[in-house]
Amino acid sequence: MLYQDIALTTPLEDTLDQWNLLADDAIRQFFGFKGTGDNIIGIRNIERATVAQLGEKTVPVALPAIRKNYEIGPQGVVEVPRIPYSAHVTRAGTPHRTQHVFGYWHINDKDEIIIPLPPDGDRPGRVLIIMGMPAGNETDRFAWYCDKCLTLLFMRESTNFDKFWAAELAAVRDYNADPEHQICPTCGHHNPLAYSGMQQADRPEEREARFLW
Amino acid sequence: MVNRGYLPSAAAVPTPDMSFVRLFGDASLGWQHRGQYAIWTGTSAQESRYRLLERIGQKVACLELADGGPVFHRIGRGTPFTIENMMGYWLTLDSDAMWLDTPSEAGRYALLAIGGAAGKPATATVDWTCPSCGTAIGSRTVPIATAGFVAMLKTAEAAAAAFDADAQSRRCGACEMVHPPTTAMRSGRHLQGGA
Repeated sequence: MLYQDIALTTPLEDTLDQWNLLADDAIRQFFGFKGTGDNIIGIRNIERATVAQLGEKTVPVALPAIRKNYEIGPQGVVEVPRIPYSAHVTRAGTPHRTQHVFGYWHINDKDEIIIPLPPDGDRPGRVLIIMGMPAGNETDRFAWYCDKCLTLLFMRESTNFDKFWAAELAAVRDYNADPEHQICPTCGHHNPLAYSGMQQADRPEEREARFLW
Repeated sequence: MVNRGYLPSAAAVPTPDMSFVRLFGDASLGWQHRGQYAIWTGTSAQESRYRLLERIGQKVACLELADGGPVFHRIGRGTPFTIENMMGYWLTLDSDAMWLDTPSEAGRYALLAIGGAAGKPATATVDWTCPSCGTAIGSRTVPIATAGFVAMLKTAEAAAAAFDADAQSRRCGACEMVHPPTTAMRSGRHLQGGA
């Protein structure tokens, strides 16, 4: 190395706290979302093939291998692949959701970079998420569109990322509280219930919905 | 039809930029500033791997694991860094960057994603690090907010070429050592531009 004479010789941990977010002593902090400087980081292990039954022990935000990812654009709902060793960038303003993981369309004002890493030895497959930290009026939205005709049914907003999970669960519960929210005013289709990204929060009927969509 | 105050013109409504994918194995992409991040990805053999170096005080830290395991690291705003075998200069930004270095069956993959805060990065400092004493050499501030990220890269590349061409500009003001040409930092690889 060109800089051999001035190389830091002490362990990195002595100078840089938690310098590797994938280290065993750091990674658990990112199983939900954690603000890290200018960005919010999420790290998800893919530990199961399918959705856990209610009461089964799992990490809070579990990614089953069978999940699919969707976005809504001018052509309607499109499935977006998760290719190992790639950076998938979901641009700000694009409604997106992950089947069986969160039961709503997330629409935010920050780009999201999704990096799928395949399993390696004993380590499970992972998904790394990088998205900008919202500031000012930058907003997270939780929305529901009709499965049949994509009419917007219901939406809640939050501009305080510190309370993301509370706002998310409140939006889920608001949507679920009134069956009228789930009935499309355009085509009359009865849409499934919502569920949170934090699966420990599931009520029995929400866990049933998690299996559905 | 409910009129919400907007009547579309006869022209086609522009298609929004929804999402895009960068494959780590696609070496043709280079840098891409699209949306809120400037992203670079690279693939390398183990022996010529991309390494993240950070200047901490007057020391240089190499952000890698001895066993070659994956590293996911935040480069904090204001931290001078370079990617060995990719960049011929050191960069200090006013925004964070995220670095991923991971082994794979095809070699090693690396990703650098710069951004996250609205309007940032707005400025960069380009300089070099004296290999003898760690003092910064030839610092210059380059705007990003007005000219754009790709223009900043071109300015940095031009600065590196000028640095290489003039040994006097490579002389450390503190210890007088002459920094070698920047080819020593990147093993013949060159920064790939591109919008």
